[in-house]
Amino acid sequence: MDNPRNNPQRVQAPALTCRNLCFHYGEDKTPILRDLTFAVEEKEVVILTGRSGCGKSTLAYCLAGLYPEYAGILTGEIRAGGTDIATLPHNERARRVSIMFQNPDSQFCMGRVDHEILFALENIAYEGDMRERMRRLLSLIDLEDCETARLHTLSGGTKQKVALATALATGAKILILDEPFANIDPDASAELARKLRALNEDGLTLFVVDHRLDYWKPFLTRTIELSATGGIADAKARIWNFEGCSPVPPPSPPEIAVSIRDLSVSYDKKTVLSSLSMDIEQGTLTALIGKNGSGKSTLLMAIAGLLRFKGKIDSVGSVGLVFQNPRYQFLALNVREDICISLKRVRSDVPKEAIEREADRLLDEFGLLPYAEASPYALSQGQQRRLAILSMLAGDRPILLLDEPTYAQDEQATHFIMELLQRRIAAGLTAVVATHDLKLAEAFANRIISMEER
Amino acid sequence: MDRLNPGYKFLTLLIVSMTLSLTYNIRLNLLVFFLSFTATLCTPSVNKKRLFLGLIPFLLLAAGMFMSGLIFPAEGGAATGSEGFRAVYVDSIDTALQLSSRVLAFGGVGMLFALTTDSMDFIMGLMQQFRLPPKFAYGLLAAYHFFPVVRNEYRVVKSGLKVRGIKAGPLSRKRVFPLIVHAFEQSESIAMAMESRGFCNEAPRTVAFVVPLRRVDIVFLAVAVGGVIAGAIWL
Repeated sequence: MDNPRNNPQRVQAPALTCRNLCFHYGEDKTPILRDLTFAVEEKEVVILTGRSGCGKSTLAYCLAGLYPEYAGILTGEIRAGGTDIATLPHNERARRVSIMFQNPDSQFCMGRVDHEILFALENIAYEGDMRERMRRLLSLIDLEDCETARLHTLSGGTKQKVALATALATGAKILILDEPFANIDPDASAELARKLRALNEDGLTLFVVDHRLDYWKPFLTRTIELSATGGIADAKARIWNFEGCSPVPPPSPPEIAVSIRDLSVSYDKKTVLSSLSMDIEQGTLTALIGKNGSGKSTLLMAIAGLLRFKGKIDSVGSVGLVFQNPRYQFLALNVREDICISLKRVRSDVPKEAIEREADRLLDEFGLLPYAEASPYALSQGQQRRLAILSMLAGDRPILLLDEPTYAQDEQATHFIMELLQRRIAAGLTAVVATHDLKLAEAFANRIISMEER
Repeated sequence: MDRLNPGYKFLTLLIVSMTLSLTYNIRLNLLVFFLSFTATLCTPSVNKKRLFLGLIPFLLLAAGMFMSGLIFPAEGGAATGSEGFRAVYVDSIDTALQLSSRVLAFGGVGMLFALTTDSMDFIMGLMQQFRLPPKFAYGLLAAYHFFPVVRNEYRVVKSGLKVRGIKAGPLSRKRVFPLIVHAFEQSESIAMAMESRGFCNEAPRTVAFVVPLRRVDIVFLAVAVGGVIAGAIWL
């Protein structure tokens, strides 16, 4: 496992060392991490991959010193530059190791960009000119113009850059990143990756949790994989591909499922969509691609009838929509009941037992039957997405709209969802998918629509 | 007004309000309302539209208190006329005016504080001058800044229900439960983020957001509190 890049004769402790690390969420729970021993050398870029739910984020939180303080039981030792991080107070730990989270919205304490960075500088009792240091950090990530901007008004990509500047403000030499590109568009991801590469060349050690290696490949040092049983091993840096996948052939002759004429949508006096006209054919998959803010989600919301618009949208049947975060659309406290609610809406005359049998059949098809009694909120992200898709399809929706259906999914979960969709499309479903993933769109879509920011 | 130390301004206005609640003086109540309203109106940074809109509930409440004080009086007192079939007493007019003018005074003082104070400066002031522990101060700020996210999530949940064809009231379990689940998760995530940025309640910290305490703040406290006490005695 040890593979120092520019330091054949080591004279100092590795940047990060993990020795006999075991972690479980409770005494009676199966260990998530089992006897992990590895080291990350200074200036390395180590990518941690592994199946969804195998414990990658857990390991990241352990390395950042957040676990076991916030959850679980940890045995073994984690050292940053030779010092056991469990013995360090928070501010001292932050001077050595910092972490950037996946969700840009849940990592800020203050309301403004400058305040957020100043907060971090206050925490480490920075003695110099704090405002001057804050401005230098902002110029490092090209955000000088956003100094006084309110955080909630920024795009996901800009928020992640602010999070990066804040993480660097503590002076940490090791940065742990938990899927930093999951919420941002390809251009913003590429830009953030460029910044991280430059910082790495200046001496920053990166330990990254990510499913996809596209942006890391040009400068990663090595890849390690966490197995489902909690062990760790070197892995080959492999870029995902969808070889062998192709769109479902559209029915002939084509029929129109959704007709959009002169669609215009405005938010807060800003026009998001203007005079858009298009037809979506039945039994096809249409992919919407484009930057954050280009109107992909707005178009889906308009087709689903969830916002006011000018123009006309006609569809052949009721429209279902699966949000980027499906957790907002669950209605019941267990998985089977959630599907039964959808089934009852369209089959009110069918007895309860028959509804439950039908729900179990559908859950089995979607690989969710073992979780029928579980809470929807306790499922993994991939399982939640499948449940959200199923709860829409169970309501007899001939048209299904999906906002980033493969967001934060591993390769296997992505293939599972796309194969399920393709089976339904072959049976007549019309799907519209908003995605940042051009490769996915090219592999599965009958038609790709590129949305431009106005 | 917006340049005063927010912590001391809060203390001053709190003492003024408590003094008013212990007195029965219509003229003093109206004077406090008039002065607070004028001071708020004359503060350049105040959004005048928000001031007038913000006063509407207090005006309605004052009118409501006046009418209920008038129509449902305590027993006794000399009758001065009739309201429909109901007798109106001299004492009840006085009580009604007391109640409604006090509501107006509280409204004026509240608006003065709310519209001339920056939330961040207020919390920092409480931390620097009133020893509010940093854990609570930054916790409050994080919660306050999380409001826009919650507001957006509320809209998303509403859309989620609509697209599933489910009708639910604004406070329905179906609408509130996903928000609560998410709020728990997010609050933990924000706490972890604060800690990973080096936040430590006990450790010494430098101060980037200095909220100064000046002589004018003490003068404001003395004049406002002294003025109200004097008004309670002599007006």
